Amino acid sequence: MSEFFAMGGYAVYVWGSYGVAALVLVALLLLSLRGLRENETILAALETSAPARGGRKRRAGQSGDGAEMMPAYLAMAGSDAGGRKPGSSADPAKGDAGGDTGGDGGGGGGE
Amino acid sequence: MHRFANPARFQRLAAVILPWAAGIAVLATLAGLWTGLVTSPPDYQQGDTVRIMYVHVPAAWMSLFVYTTMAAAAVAALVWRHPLAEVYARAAAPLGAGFTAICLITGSLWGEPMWGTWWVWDARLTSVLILFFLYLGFMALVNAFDDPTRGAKAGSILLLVGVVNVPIIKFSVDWWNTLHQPASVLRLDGPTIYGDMLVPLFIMFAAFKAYFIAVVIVRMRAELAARKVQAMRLTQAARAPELSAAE
Repeated sequence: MSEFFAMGGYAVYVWGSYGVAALVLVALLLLSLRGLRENETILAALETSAPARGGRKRRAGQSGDGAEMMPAYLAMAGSDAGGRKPGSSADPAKGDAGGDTGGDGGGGGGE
Repeated sequence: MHRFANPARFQRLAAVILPWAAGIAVLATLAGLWTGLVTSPPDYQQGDTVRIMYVHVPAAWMSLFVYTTMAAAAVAALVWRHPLAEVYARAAAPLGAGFTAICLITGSLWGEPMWGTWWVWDARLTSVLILFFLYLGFMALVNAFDDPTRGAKAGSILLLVGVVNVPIIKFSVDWWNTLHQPASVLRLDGPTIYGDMLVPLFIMFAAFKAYFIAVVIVRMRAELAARKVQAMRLTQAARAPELSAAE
């Protein structure tokens, strides 16, 4: 067993390599999961605090499948996509493009 | 308000793929560690340091694969204005940078005992270091603008300019005299590696690929949620004056 851990005298290099890889991959996984949880928490809070004007959208969203797999924002986004004309990319509001300064800053900052 | 191509379809597909990718990642990692560290033989010249290859080479392949997919996404974003393409590129960038970092660090840990040096400025090592900086540059650039649309466009252009580095990395060991060895798996005349070493190599590659698919889905969901939050805040801000005027 100790022979296995010695790696023919190259223990530092071999175990160091596997350790670094594990560290990087696990850290990225945890940061990504935390980013998802934070964004979905904020979104859920916003949706409960501003339920107005959402009647039509919510009905459209609930007709989708797999409600337990589908976070609330999906229902909203899906109905938005369905209710809009294809040519509306010139929409001056550009709500979609204004997207990510808030949430992504948290995820990106940790890396 | 949204011009998402179809995030609902993406979410449905992602919900199906995610558990499979996560499961395959876990199983392949375990199998890759077992075959790579236990059952595969030490190299007749390099001894047990050859086991570093099972992390180093899949990480290097992933670093090129992720960058290439991001560049393809940049084309989709610039030409067809496909919004999920931007979401994908932003989500994948830190993972690509992570794979590149793993490649560089494990290469260093392999170079010290085998070459007698942690680092040389040869063509292969230098071009991979540039790839790492391209990832970091993209991540910094897309967040450097007040207007995220402009940030996304600048990031897409950077990705397309940087894609020239991908063939340079691949062929650097053939075009220049490098301390790094030439390709021994992806060769026209077939792999020159002993078969027992190819098994853990490909299993670890499958593990890294499945890991990437699972985590990039998580990151894309987070990104879509963040965009939704931003859109809702803009709507609320726009609606506030209307409400006060009505009263």
